Amino acid sequence: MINLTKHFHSDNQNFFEIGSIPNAAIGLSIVIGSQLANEYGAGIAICSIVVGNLILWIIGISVISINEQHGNTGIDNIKLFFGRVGGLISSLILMFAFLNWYAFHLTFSTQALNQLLHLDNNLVLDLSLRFGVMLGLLCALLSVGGIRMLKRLSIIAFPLLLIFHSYAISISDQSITLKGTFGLSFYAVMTSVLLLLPGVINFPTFFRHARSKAHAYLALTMFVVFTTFFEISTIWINFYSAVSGFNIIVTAVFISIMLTTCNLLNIYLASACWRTIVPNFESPKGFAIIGLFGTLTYTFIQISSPVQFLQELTNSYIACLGVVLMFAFAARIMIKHRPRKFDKLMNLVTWLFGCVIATIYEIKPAYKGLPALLNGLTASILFFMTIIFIEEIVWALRKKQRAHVAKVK
Amino acid sequence: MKSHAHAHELHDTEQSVWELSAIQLSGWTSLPILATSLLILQQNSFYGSIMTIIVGNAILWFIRLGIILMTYKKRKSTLDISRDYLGNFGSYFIGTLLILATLAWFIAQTTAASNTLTQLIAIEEHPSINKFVQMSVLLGILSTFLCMEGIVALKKLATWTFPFLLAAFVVILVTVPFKLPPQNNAALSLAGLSLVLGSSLGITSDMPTFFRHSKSLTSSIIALTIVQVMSLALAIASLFFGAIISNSFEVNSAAVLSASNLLLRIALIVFLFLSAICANVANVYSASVGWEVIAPKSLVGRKEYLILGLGLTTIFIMIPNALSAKFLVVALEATDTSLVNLCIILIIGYILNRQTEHQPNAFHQRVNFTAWLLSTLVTTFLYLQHTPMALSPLTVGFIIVLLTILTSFVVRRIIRWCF
Repeated sequence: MINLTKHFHSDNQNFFEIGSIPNAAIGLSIVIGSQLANEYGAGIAICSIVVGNLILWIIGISVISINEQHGNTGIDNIKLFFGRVGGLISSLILMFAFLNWYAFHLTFSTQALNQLLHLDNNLVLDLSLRFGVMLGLLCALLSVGGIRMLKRLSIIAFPLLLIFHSYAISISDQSITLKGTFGLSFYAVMTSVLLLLPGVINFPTFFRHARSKAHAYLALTMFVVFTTFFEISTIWINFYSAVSGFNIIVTAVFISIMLTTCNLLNIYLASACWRTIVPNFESPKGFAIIGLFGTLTYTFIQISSPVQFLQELTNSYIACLGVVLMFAFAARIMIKHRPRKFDKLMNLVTWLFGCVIATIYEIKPAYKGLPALLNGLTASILFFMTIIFIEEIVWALRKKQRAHVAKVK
Repeated sequence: MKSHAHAHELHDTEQSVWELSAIQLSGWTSLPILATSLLILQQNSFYGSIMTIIVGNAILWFIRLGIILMTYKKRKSTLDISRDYLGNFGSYFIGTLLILATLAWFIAQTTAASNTLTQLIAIEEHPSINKFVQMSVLLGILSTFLCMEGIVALKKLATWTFPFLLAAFVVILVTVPFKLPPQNNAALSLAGLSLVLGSSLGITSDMPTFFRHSKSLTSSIIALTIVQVMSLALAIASLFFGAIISNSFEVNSAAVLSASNLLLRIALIVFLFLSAICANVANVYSASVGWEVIAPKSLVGRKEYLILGLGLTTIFIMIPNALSAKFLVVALEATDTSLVNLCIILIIGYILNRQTEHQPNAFHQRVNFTAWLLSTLVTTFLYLQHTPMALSPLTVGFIIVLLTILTSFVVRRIIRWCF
């Protein structure tokens, strides 16, 4: 029998190879630049994106450094701080999120292509679904190649995306005025951070294939620099304004490449989550199953309001997870005397508390989306601080009492 | 035992009678049998059709026995046997043919099943949502998912679904609004016989691929007999379906969709859904032997099923708009006739070998390949004419094959005699 796993893993990647993967697979998040510019002005949007990405860099450094043992996945790290139950819950949430994004990217890309090609409405209804399914199946087929295929595609796609962005800016006739001065918006920074946070939390899943931690750090820096460029460049790019045949083809190719690499990454990250439930899932078969499942989700569910609600909810849960993970990591560095089991239990409770608060606010129409997420985050942070405060006071009092008893004896 | 054509080891070589039969009946033959019976009924009387089906199945059993005897010694697939009789060059054609035939069947079966299931399953959805595409994607993706493990998954699928298929078939038979026609002409129809053989010989030439997994020759022969008897029963029972399926193979909505026929509707849904998936998975396995010959080595192995399944579903999703139904019918007929011609050549070759007690040499292989190519080209050309034929394609193919083989032997004798 042919050994499928022999050529499947690729554990000796340099920083360029490993950094190309998230950069090529950045997907739709790049349009955030134009959205923020329209809302807050180009100056504030640019500054907020830069700051947001710097925060992501810090989070990325933390999640990569969490475990001294190089080669763990993102879920392994979560298990280390949240225990087995926490790992299982987070796997399910992340898996749902990745599947949802798979379907979302297919929907968005087919819509973008329809708009770009100015297709007739009657034709669009049928053709759009077929084309989306075809792209979904193509991604499932390519995912059979695992991280190697993802790496190869990314190495080709990343320079192409870079060239496309540079070309699109150079021919752009779009100009957004720099409203007011350069400044920061808390909401803009948070939006920029939260958009990529689930992916960043999972960075260890594919950064484990890096040659060393140094290569992983360099790859992370490369990711942050180019993501900032991609996001800011969309302020001057209007994807749907292409009129000449050449520009339409170039943009259509760009959208297809972006979708394919992004969904391949989604499949790869979801498979690492699946592995928590089904061991040995990271195989060509496992990847293809996720791709097929994502395509089925796209075909039957589409992006309706209940799905959007769940999407926002999972975003909040993942954001809370990321923040608790960072705080727990910092606490573990600073406080050495916490018992591990208690530590894991408290982290899990803190995260779940934040999730409950986010859910309560998400249900209220006035707080949907970002406000619910921020409330969940605040609740998690406050809960964590309170627990640490009480725990340390109790520990200090007990230690003092023990020292006193020993002195009396 | 290893087949020399294989790029990887042959798995699952201990299949029992029950497993071999279940694969053939649920995964391979159920839908073609149903379609053939309905076609015979369109040309013949009810009792005449029964007579034709009985005689046709008896002939088929003999032919299939010969085909199975070819495969048991070295566990040879259809392609291995084709290589023996048509040579290496010919085997590339047969490999491509197997993939094309699979594609045509995959498209035809999934389209027919999706159309009927969309008609039978009433779900309230937004009018802009294309239910046919949704159903097709579901069938295609489920088939891909189930074909990933090759013969092992096919065996499990077939043995688990066969009882359900049988139960659904019995329910359809009991609930279908059918009245026995008065005793009329029960004569054997040669056109019907040609239909039975024409539609089943294509499948027959593919049988070695499945029967090479048998644990013994005895198991293969018993399984073949069971398959033939069950096929006969299924074919006769399918004649009763004429009451609910029209000449264009569409379900009669008035007869099925009424509230009083809920049981019939459920049974039809179960039967069609399971049959379509089993047939698609079996088709992919059949095509995999062709893929092993024409695909690069890196794409051969366990992932070939996945590549084939996903590839077929992707092509199917994009193709219905591009291809007309007429083209699809011609493609189906042409690929099926090519397989029938292959079956004729294999049988003739086998008989000649048994008589001469020699394996086919390069000359025989070239003659066989020429005969196959000629008969396939002529019958495909006849199908493309879209005109009624005086002789059935089966007969035309048979005559061309015989003439080519005889002529080449005579010419060879003359050349030897002269020089």
